[in-house]
Formats: sequence, C-alpha cells, structure tokens
Amino acid sequence: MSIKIIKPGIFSTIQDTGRYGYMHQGISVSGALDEYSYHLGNFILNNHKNCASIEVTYGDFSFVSLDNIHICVTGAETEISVNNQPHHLNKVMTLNQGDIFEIKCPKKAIRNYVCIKGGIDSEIFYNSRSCNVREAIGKKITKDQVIKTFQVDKDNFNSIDPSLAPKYENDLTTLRVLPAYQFHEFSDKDKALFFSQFYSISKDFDRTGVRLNGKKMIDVLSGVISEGISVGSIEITPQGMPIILMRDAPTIGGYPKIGTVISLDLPYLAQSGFGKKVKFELTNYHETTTNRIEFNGLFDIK
Amino acid sequence: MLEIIPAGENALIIYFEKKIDSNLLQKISYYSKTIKKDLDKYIIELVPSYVSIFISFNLNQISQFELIRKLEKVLIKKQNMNDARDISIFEIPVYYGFDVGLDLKDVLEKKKMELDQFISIHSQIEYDIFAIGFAPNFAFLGQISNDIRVPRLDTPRISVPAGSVGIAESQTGVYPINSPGGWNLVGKTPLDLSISNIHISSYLRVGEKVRFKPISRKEFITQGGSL
Repeated sequence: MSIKIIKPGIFSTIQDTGRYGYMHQGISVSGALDEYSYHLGNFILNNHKNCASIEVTYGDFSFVSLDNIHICVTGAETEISVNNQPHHLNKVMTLNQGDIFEIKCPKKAIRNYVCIKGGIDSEIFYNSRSCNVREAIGKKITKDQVIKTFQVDKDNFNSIDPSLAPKYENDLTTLRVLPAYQFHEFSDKDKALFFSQFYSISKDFDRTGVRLNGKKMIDVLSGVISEGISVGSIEITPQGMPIILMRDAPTIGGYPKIGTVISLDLPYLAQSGFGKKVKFELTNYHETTTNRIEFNGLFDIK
Repeated sequence: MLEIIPAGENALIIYFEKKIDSNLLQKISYYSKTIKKDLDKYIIELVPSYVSIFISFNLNQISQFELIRKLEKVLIKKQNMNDARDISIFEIPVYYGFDVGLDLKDVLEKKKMELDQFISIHSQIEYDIFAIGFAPNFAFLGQISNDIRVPRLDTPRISVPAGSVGIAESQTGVYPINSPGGWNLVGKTPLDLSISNIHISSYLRVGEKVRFKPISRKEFITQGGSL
C-alpha cells in the first residue's frame, strides 16, 4: 500500500506522537505540533493512537493513491478534493487506485494532518517515525516520493460530532501560561506587560519555535546556565521578546523563561501563522492537570 | 542550596547550585541515576545539565505535588561514596589541521602560539561533560586552558561540517551533525558522533569524560575522515 506525492507543499513531514526518553542525549521530543488534530485523525480512522500521519504546513499538497485506501484530513479549514470533487474535513474518504487527492492552502489556520487508515510505514528511529529536520532525523516530503502505508483488514471507523472538532479560525490566539522556571525573577512591571499586551507572530516561526513581536520587556536577565527545556516554555531574549519553544526545539537552553504554555493550548499556537495576534493568560496547575488528564483519557494516551 | 521549581504542567527542574563547578557533576550524575532508578515508572525525561536536573513525568501516574515529595526523599539521602563509580574516558581522535580547522590560524594568531603548542594544550586535559544538547550528542566539554580561550565568532556559520571540533570561551566540543554554529573550528574527528552511531551514546553522558587524541592528516583519512 502506498501513495505517490505530486505536490509536497512548502513543508510537509511525517509525524507521530513523538520521540520520548532520549532528551538526555540531546534528542528533542518532536511529534505532531497540533496534538489535537493529529489524535482526532487517528480516532476517526480507528487507528492506533501512535499511527504516523503527514503534517502539512500551508497546504498546496497532493498525491496519487497507488492502492485503495481510506484517509482523513484534520486541522485547518481548507479546500479538500478527490479527483476535483470536494470533500470534508474530519471525515473518512475512500481513495481508489489512481485517485488524486489534494488540499489547498488554508486561509486562516496553517496546518493539516493527512491521516491514513493503518498509518504510515516509514523508518522508525529511536522509537518514533517523527521527522526533525534540525536534528537530521528524516527529511521533509518531496515531489515523487512514494510513502508506504500499512495494510489493514478491517474498515471500521469512528464518526465525531462536528462541533467537537477544534476550531482554529479565531483572530486572536489566547495561550494559558503556567508560572515556571524563572517566573519569580522577572519584575512585576515586565510580568504586567507580558500578560497585558497583544503580541503578533513574527516571520520566524517553525517546528522549533515561535518568535513574537511586541513591546519590549525591560529588566530581562542576561541569561541562565543552560538547562532542560519543556515544550511550550517561553524564553525571553536579551532584546525583551518572547520565543515559545515547540517540539523540535533543542533540549537545553540558556535564555530565562517566564513560564510554560499549557500543552492543550499549543495546538492553537501551532495553527497560528505570521501576523496572528497572541495574548498570554496566567493559569494554575490544578486546572491544567485536570484538563490534561481528561484529554489523555479521551484519546487513550497512557 | 537545593531547589525544586515547576517547569510546566508535567515538568520540573532541580537546581543544585547557582554556579558551574566540575565537582558538582558527580553529584548530579549520581542523583540522576538514583532518581531514574527509584522513580522510573513516573519519569519520561531526565536531563542533567551543568547545575540542574530537568524532569518530565507522566501526569496519568503522579501529580506534580506528589512527585516533588518523592524527589525530596530521594535527594535527602546522602550520596553513598561507596557508589563512587569508574568514570569512563571516551577518546576522540582529532586531526588539528588548517584545512579542517577553519579558525585555527586566527586562534593561533590571537594567542601568538605555534600549532604544536595549541595541540598539546587542547589535548592534554580530560574534559568533563557538563551537558548534552544543542544538537543530539553534542557534548559541552570543559574547562579548556586559559591559554587557548577565545570568544565565540561574531557571526555564526550557517553550516559547520559534522565532526568539526570547536572552542568558545571555556568550552570545547564536537559538532555531531552538520549544523549552524558559532564556535571557533580548530580540527575535525573522523569518528561518527551522530546518534546513528549507537555505540557511542553511552559514553556521551553528563558526568563522564572525554579526551582528544591528536592524529595526523593521513590517519584522519585512513580512519574515514573527510576533508
């Protein structure tokens, strides 16, 4: 079973839930940036939760199916078609051998997950199929690349109430932040500025990190001794600007960090592109933990 | 000092000291192993680095509050000196040549030093591994002799070839894969230090040691090095 890429889009990679247990070797967690859409795709296809799918950034992606397969697209609202016939997000699609599948560039959010029944059969490296270009683990998908998928015997699927699917089309991305790392070492004035202003996403955003533009914080520590990095932690550069670290970020870093964005809000950041407005909101550990455990239960995350 | 600070909903960081000290590495290495051993079922990642240990844990298994309590119990146990272990010394062959050490000439000029002298100073110390990061298997090694310390490059290179040996301030290290980098390049190893080479990962751990062994251009090529 396989598909052959016609248009790879500007940045498409194979991702699963990530690579865990190797941070001490300097290996990042990686994995799907929008955990919500990724898990939803596997849920709809009734796949195992770790089945690898294709993370497509800014659409413009197409392939020809070389076998009869079932797929599902999740994530950003966009035009989806099979042989030029329109199809829907978050629904199972049946592709026959020779069918051409395409997704157009989404207008408001930026990432889609092309999930395939059975999952993608690519090389496993340190327990994961996730590509991390910065670490030279895998490569972005290219034109004419043939991607193998696992054969499945059963065609059993799940359907979801469309209202349960995440919506990424808001003009503002609000990110809840937990006080963490050097939170208490920032001045009250800087913290007030950080939590009150509207930032916007700069041109520098990718799977490694998202750099924001806004009013500068003033009394920023010049640096800290390099320490282990939590995905979602917010570094403040010596210029007083935030960088939110994403799943491909280096495992240690030496900028002071004002806090950590909660994992359930990172999908919304992952779906936000250049110019999008971002606001931070302080939250607490108790509520965050309860919500995360509920999410884990929903998608059977152990 | 000993401080445990939250680092996220399922992460925390233990600070042992505020200043970098090579004597601290054995302690950090010891507690990393003890924590891993005693609390393995809760822990996802454990990253020792310079003065701290970062931990991420499974929220389904334990709350942050409970884990901190358990960590405190592990951390008040005195380090058992009978557990003092043999520290491994990993030897990395290096060809110190102007054709691979692109900044070697500048470094020698700045330090008014001959190449032989530089090689003997850089390769005589058994370096401590203070941290692993920046790229997979990139080991931050220290401390290099005062006599050969230079600042980072003003403008980092977009791509440093894999195997290049760099120096910056008090630190030295080897780039395991092609990556951007701002350290002064003084040589190159023929060894594959990337994570594809599964045999070497166990040597590249915080608290272990590394020594550089000077080799000739010919040996470099024979051992598979590329110029």
